[in-house]
Amino acid sequence: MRLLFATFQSPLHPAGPYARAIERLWWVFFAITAVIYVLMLIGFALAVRKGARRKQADLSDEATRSGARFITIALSATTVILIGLLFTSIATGRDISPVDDKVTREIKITGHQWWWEVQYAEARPDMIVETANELHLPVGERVKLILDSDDVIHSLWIPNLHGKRDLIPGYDGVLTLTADKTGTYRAQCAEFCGLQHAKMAFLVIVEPKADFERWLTAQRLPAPFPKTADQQHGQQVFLTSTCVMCHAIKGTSAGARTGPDLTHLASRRTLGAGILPNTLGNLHGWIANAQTIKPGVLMPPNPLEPNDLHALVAYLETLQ
Amino acid sequence: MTLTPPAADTTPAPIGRRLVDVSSLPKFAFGHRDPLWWGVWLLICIEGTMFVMLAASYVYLRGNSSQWPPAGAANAPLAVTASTVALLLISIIPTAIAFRAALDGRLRVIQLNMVLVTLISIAAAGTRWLELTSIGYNWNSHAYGSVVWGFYFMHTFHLVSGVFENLVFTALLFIGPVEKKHMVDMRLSAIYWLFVVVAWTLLWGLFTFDSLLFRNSIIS
Amino acid sequence: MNDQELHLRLSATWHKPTGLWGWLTDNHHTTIGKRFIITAFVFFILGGIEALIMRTQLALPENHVVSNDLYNQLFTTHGSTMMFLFAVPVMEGLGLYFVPLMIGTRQMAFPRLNQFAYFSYLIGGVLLYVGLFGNFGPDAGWFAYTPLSGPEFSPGKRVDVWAQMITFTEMAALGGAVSIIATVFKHRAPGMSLNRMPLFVWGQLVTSFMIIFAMPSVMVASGMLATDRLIATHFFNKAEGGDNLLWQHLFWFFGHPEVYIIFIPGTTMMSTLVSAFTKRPNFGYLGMVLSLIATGFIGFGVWVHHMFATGLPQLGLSFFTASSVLITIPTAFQFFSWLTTLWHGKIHFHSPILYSFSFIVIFLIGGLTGVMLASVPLDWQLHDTFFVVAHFHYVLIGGAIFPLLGALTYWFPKLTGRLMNEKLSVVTVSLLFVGFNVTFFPMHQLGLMGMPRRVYTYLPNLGWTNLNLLATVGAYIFGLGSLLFVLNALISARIGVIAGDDPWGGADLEWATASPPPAYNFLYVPTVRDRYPLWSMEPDQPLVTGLATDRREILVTKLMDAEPDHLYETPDPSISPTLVALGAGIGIIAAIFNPWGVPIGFVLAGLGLLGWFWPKPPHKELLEPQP
Ligand code: HEA
Ligand code: HEA
Ligand code: HEC
Ligand code: CUA
Ligand SMILES: [Cu+2]
Repeated sequence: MRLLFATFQSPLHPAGPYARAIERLWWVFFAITAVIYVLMLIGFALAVRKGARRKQADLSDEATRSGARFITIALSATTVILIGLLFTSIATGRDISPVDDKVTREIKITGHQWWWEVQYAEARPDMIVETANELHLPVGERVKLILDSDDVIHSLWIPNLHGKRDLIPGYDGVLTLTADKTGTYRAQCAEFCGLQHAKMAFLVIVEPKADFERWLTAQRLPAPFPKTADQQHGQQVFLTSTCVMCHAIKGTSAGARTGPDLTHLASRRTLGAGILPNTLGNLHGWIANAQTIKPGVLMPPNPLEPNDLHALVAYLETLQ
Repeated sequence: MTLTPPAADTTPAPIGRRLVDVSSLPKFAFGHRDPLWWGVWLLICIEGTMFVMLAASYVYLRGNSSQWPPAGAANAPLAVTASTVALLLISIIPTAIAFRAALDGRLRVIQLNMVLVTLISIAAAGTRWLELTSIGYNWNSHAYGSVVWGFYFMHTFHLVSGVFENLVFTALLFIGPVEKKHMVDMRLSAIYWLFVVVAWTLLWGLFTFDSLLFRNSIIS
Repeated sequence: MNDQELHLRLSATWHKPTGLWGWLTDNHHTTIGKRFIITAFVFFILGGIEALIMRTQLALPENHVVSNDLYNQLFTTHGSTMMFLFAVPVMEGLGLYFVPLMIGTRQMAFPRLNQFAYFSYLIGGVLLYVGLFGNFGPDAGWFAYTPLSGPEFSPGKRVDVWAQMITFTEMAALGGAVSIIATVFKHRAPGMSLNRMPLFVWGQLVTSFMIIFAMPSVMVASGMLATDRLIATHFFNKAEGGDNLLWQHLFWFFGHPEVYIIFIPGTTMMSTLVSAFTKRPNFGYLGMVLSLIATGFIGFGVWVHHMFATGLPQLGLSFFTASSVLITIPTAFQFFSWLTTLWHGKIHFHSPILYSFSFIVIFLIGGLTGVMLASVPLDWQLHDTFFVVAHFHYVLIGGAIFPLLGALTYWFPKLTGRLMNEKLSVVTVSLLFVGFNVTFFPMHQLGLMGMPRRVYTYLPNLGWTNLNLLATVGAYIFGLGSLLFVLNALISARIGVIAGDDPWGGADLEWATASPPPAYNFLYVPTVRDRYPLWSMEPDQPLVTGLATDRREILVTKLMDAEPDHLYETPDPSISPTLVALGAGIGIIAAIFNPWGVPIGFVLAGLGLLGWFWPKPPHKELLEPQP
């Protein structure tokens, strides 16, 4: 469990150049506004002390003149600071949205109520990797995320890597990012998207290039044929119950796209879009009745016989 | 401002104060001196902004569509839509005459021209009916249909209220008694009617001359 | 005729009808204004209770106080209530009550419009709460983004309730705005030229104009949403050529001005309090007025800063950063002016000024976080997190609620004739100040730790627990403070110290009449020679005479310099405006179930309008027919 969320989802712990640029900008803004705040409060404290001690209000011309002088100076300073902040912000804005698309990889992420579909683009259709609720990235590579949604507006936010970008149905959003520190980061949907907006997260796993390639190759393979009788029974349960109406397992006849692709389910670290560790017990619970774990989820409860359920889980556990 | 003692039946003078006696001021005024004039113009601002927002939505949706209007979306015949506009525009003339005549209260002229305005506006409502029944698509056919029907809905609502207002007003002019103060109302209702006319002329121009206004009518 | 006799006559002419019938027919601006304020406070309490429930749910991770379904209804209703049913109406209510008093007139320009506005507002608010309690409360957030709020993803009647509630409150706000503008332009006491109007009145004028140009946008949008849902139009349906960003543009084109519609009256209350309790005119009157106007204008040019994360082109976004930054300059001017006024004034420490000090300490944080959010890269990280929630509560509560409570304490005598209990007020403001910061300051950090907004729960191992718990504790303290304010008001209205006409030595004309003002407001309409009439009033400042005593006659003055121009009769109490609101209400609510509701409501409202505009028997100069 600790490992699962070891690295928090925070823009202040950047793991890539873009997030780092934003973090730097944040501290610039923070420092300047903090100074302004303190100065203003001191100013007000002094004014209140002064005003409290007076015998009566000063209505003289001299007061008017000095007041006008103060306002002019303060307003000019404000304007200068603001222009400074504006340009700093615009400069950072340029740094973090590269126009020279020197990207090595395109990944399409599609938002669904309330899970993420992930597709690694390849020229050859049979090389395309499909997975869900987990994004693997090679460290140091610039990747381009194509963002779309299948239903309502979601927002992809991997705070340690970059700012957020909405997934709007019909618009292909683009977010280019680079991770330069290996590790596991958590991302969460940021745009309110209905009942389970709170539980629409996923993990981003940044790994060395070699590990990444290994993972990608493994993901390309279809699901292995189950070995034990129990597992084979489990596959039968899967293929003959409602599961096939929504899920795909490559290498079997299940090819539906309504729910997450389960071909390599067992290789994933979480269940239910980043909310549960992928353990045997959790998988049991999820399949039996996901509604108790994620109320409103678009997967119905499955009243299976205990041994069927058991076999099903055993089968799903083979989907490495 | 005059500093004279007040008339008997109105607020009296307190002892020992300088006074501003207003009892002899007129009981109504034309133009921006009149609070109701502001009311009407503010109403026009509100509704005008609604029309502008609808028109902006039209342009926005248009910009995001590959084909606009969609294939096969047939508007009402130009002859019909143009006659509505023509009638509305013609109605400006009697409206303007009545508007002018109201300033010095020439009742006969006003009556005559208001009858004309009313008749023309009823005719426009008639051709509007023909338009509505001959539009070749529905509001639920596509976004283009939705927004153009939106124009029609909003404006027909105004047109009907305008016709109703013209009718009632003209009737009152004949039934009487007509007060001088009613001349102010008469001018205000004329202003509102002009708004109804102008609003439609612009909206109609927008969707009728779409292909002239926007170069890339068909992008795809 | 002496003053006593005049009082009797005017009281008879301007009498406020009482009882249930009176409640339905009275159109006096003080009645309507007070009603707006009280109703708004009822909604504030309801919205506050929703907030407390939400905070209780968020106090601990994986909490089960409410379900996710209910939580979504709660924050939607909370946001909609606070924005549409509390903040805007309460500000407008104060305007309706005080503008005529401050400019020295007996009645608003369109009293029946105000009456209509109030009933629309009431119907809209009740509709929202019938929805919430009937478990069909809206649940798509206070900005109800499509397609989530569209027919496909929000079946049922929930979002329809939201859309129609919007229609009602917009009608109410627009009616009030038209009335306020005409009143400010045409009813000012002789001599009160535009550049002598109290800043509060300027604030009301500017917000009313903003309402006029902002609200139509959301009316169009919510109308489109309603037809998309009810008769299958395709404004927001991508498949048929519609567009979802259109909704966001239309909504925020209204939504951003909306927040300044709430904030501008707040700042002008600040100015009123600062000047009243330093016994000194505000510094830079002209600059203050220009700041309000500039804020009003620029407020229409920043809406896209709510949409930075949608992926619009960078260049365009930078424009909206620039305009958002620009809008801080008028606010900065106001801040510097208050500072200078405090410096050169003689500060009298009464509870209202403590609210002003809280404003400064709190709003400033909100303003500065606003500047951070205006930066596109920062907003990409902070958007839709609790950092934004912190920002807007700092500006809304700091910038509008604190000055509002201060101003209510200050004006309480004018509303009720009695003073609020001072000791209790000091306790209240302290509780509110502490509670507020304990609630909302931690939210900045929560946002920076990655907590998104609008989540009904969160996992225990994300490290958000302690700060959330702290915020919840703070919310209860703030709630206690609010409760104390309400109790203080209720008790003081009955047994508070009798205030007299002018307990604070105020500067503006509202203090020139009794507390609370008689039905005719002023026995003699006053005249004005400068910006702070009561501070410079000469013993023989002229009074206006010659207004009719047997009908509700008003003196209309000229737009710029307020020279007496003509006389204008305002209407007696009548039931028709209430009927119009009711008719429209029946139609609009029926439209949730059947589109034919619209024409039916149209006809019903039309019947009411007939009574509204029915010509009165003439008693004026007739027009001779001319050949
Ligand atoms: C009273 C209401 C109010 C006010 C006054 C403001 C004021 C400002 N707001 Fe705020 N805002 C809201 C209410 C308000 N806002 C609400 C309700 C939302 C969220 C809606 C939702 O999503 O639900 C929001 C959201 C919001 C966003 C979108 C955030 C997001 O969703 O990602 C942004 C982004 O630019 C923003 C910016 C600003 C700015 C720049 C100001 C400026 O006007 C602030 C100016 C003031 C100051 C800066 C302080 C005084 C100045 C000085 C002392 C001078 C010295 C200062 C400097 C040199 C910097 N606001
Ligand atoms: C003026 C506007 C305003 C005001 C005053 C408030 C006041 C408060 N708000 Fe609200 N808030 C919004 C406007 C406002 N809010 C908006 C626009 C949203 C966005 C909604 C959305 O996302 O769609 C929001 C969202 C919002 C959230 C985020 C929800 C989420 O994203 O998940 C939270 C969470 O803590 C919150 C908390 C509070 C709290 C604790 C108060 C407290 O200050 C409330 C204190 C008041 C009370 C506690 C009432 C006191 C009365 C009593 C205790 C009862 C007394 C009874 C009798 C006298 C009979 N608000
Ligand atoms: C009506 C459609 C539907 C049916 C039937 C269905 N599922 Fe699902 N399933 C979903 C959806 C949608 C999700 C994603 C839920 C979420 O996280 O919000 C999901 C998620 C899952 C997950 C978690 C995947 C992940 O990566 O987190 C598993 C495992 C799963 N389903 C297994 C099953 C099994 C086994 C069956 C049959 C017994 C089944 N599902 C039947 C729709 C369905
Ligand atoms: Cu998906 Cu929020
Ligand atoms: Cu804004």
